[in-house]
Amino acid sequence: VTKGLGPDDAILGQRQGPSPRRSVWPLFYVASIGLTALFLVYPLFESVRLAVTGTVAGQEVFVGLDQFAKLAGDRVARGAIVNTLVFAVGTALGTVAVGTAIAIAIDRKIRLAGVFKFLIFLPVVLPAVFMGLVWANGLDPNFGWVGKILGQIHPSLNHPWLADPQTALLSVMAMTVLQYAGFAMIIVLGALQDVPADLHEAATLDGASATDRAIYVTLPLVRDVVVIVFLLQFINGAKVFDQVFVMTQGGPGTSSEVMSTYVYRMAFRLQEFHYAAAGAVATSVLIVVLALAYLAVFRSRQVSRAG
Amino acid sequence: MSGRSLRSIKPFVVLGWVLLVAWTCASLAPVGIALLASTKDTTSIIADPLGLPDRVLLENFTRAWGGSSMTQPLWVYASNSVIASAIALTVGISAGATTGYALARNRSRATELANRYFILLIALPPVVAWIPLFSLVNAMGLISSPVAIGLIYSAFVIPVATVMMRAYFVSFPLDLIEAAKVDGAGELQIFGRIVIPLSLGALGAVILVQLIFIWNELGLALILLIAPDSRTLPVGLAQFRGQDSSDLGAQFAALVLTVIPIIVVYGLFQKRITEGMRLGAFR
Repeated sequence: VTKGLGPDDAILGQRQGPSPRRSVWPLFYVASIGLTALFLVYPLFESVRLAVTGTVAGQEVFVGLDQFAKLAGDRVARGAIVNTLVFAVGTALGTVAVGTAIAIAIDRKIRLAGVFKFLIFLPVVLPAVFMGLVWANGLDPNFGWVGKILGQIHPSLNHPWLADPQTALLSVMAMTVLQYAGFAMIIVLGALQDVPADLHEAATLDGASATDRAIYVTLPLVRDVVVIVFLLQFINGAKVFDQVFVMTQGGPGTSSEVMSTYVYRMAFRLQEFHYAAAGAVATSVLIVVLALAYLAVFRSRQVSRAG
Repeated sequence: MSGRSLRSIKPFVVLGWVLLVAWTCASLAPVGIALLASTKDTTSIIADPLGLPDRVLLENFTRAWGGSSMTQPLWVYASNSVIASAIALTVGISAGATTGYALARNRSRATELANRYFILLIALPPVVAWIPLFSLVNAMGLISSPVAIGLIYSAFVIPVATVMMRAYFVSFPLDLIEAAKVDGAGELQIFGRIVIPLSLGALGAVILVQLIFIWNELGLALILLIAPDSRTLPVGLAQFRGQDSSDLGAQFAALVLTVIPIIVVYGLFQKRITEGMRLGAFR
């Protein structure tokens, strides 16, 4: 019989060794705490410090929330925030909807299920830079193959998708959903396969059709998983940088600018470090607040359902 | 006869198949297109992007790998990627696994708090670290150093590795550890000689998922690797955009060469990778 590591194990640890030696446990933490403190925690606080300071005549001065006020008054920054939210919600909805549909299709124990699972997850592990570059080439208004194929379906679909400010962000979103739906699929499929088979049998005996079983047996059981995948995809979407950077660079104009590309441009093209840091801090706060609010809403629903 | 069998085909099943086939083709189209274009010359890529090549131009690959007047050699980017990944994984996984083990073995309020610390770091959007990391690395004179970026990546690997390995070690069989103690082994020996060799599966899953993350990472590499010969693969490839495109064949060959290692690794370890990502999702 094996037993998990429990708190009682600490007592065993004390018994060890003939003479009371110094504990070796601190050694287990040194590298992890040191490296994360230097490269993650320090930068986090430094970003906050940069965001509440500014330079006046070469001197750093405390400016409070001025940078954030400037951000709120900046048309491009507001556009970038809206675009980031549209991108995050849109790609989360898209990947979860498609991923769930694919998971249900594969879960029917069809032939080649393993092959489809393998192929549909494959894009998830490929670099977004690769996907973005090939799609951008295919969407070239002059010689792209996407327009040629879509034009066969309807001439109006042969459209300069990335060059039109109305459709640039949407196109990048579509490519993102195409690449990452496989992630949602894998997670939902795992949940579906955890649904006990006898539940389905019992429902079938009670005269439930396949559709009934999908709605009343399967869906409630995978609901929690879908809620979590949506949140993960939303967070990933809100962090988006690679696809936008290689496909549109935030353009045409600033029509597809998202927060991370805007921060990048402000900091590393225009050297506006304080302003860019405010943008980065605002983005992070926004992501955390929205994620927590989403979880709170979901938890309260769960409680009200149970109660 | 056929009427009966037709009726027995349910619309949902047909819809499912259509969805699977269509999605597979659309989402993998870039891979197919890149493979096709990597064997053609620029003229035929532009004139007939979907047509088969008259002659397979394997020279595209040698030009991409060795570089030309148009492009930096891909092997430089590839070796930078290998250096950064090797350092990040060696440092990040060994640090994360040790800490995850210590957190699992010593359960107290302090270690619960430490676990919370690492979970919070996973949630941290990288963009918030960009500017200070640039200033820090610049002040150290380590801009354009694949070794330095490898160490920074390790800081991103550590929280994930710690939390995932802790979750794994919590259910590690205690009997084995007790037996080793009776034999007089110290904690470090137990960890190195008994626990690690028995945990290679879980370690492998974490390593693979993090390798994919590092191999594909663009943002930090773009900021910290300025000199052309210090770039990792994603940064090197990203330069193709908006660049003079007179050698599209070699550019596509470079793209193909970049993803081949990932596809091979994925092909070999698909189960571990998907399982690793699945577990990572519920950390």
